[in-house]
Amino acid sequence: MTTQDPIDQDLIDAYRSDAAPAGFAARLTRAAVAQAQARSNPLKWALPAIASIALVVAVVWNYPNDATRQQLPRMEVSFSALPSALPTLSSSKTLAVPSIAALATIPSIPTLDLTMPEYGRIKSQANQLRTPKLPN
Amino acid sequence: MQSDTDAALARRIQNGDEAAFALLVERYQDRIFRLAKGMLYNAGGAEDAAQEVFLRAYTGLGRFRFGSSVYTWLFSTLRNVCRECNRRDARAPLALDREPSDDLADPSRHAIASERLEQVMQRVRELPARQRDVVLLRIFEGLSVSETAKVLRCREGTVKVHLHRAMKVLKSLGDAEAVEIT
Repeated sequence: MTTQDPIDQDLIDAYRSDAAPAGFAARLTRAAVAQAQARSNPLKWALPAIASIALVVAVVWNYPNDATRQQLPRMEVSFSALPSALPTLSSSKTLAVPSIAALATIPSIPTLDLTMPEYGRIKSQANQLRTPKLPN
Repeated sequence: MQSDTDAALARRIQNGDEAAFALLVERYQDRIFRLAKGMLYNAGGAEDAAQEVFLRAYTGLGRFRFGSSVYTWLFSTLRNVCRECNRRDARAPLALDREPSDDLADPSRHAIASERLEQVMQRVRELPARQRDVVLLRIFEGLSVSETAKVLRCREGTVKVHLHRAMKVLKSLGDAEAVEIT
């Protein structure tokens, strides 16, 4: 290094005289070990996991089943305006909405031994009824 | 025990030997601390950065595959930590005219050299990261060109080029400052 250099030996010596604070290694070792132990402690992560699983089980367990669901208030849609010739989906001419069971009976219509044109006519009428027209 | 190589220490740490970790910290704490001071815009955060480096080392050494030296690995971790700190400090910028850190401003401890050192370090911090790293490792830490190249994972020629450019910049800044003073 020449004296022209921006970094001379005095500077390098001053730089190297700087050191980590006293007791740094001991403090750091203690902190690292404590941190590692905290991470390896199963209670730290297992408890929240068990609690969340228990919560999910409780929610699923108390979820209303089919029996209780049928007791919920339901809206009835009347089909009394249907032509009498039209085969109804139930004897009371009412359809519970929403009723997956009622919809599931539609494919059983061909078992009425209808001819295909007749079946098509009934199906289109049923579709019209199922999609009520909005008032203009 | 002090004669343990870095790799042997790393293996002992991987097996949960706390004493080996303490030895590793003692071996590298000063270098990591000084380098952190040279890399951080806020040199006052060097102790925290050095601490973070070793904490990451303790938890991460389990994944160390001995593809490089432990020092190279520590230096890479330090670079990442300092980058994160500088990014954070850039979001909440410090005063542009930074005060020298307490340690360096201590008048009882070769005050003149310390003051000059702080000025030079300020310029070193402003260099591009690669040039800054080369200056810190090659000039201040005294590593050879080949050692610096290994730590920085580049070719020796690249180290020389970066060093040449960095010294040119530092010299021109020093000259400009001298002209301003006169």
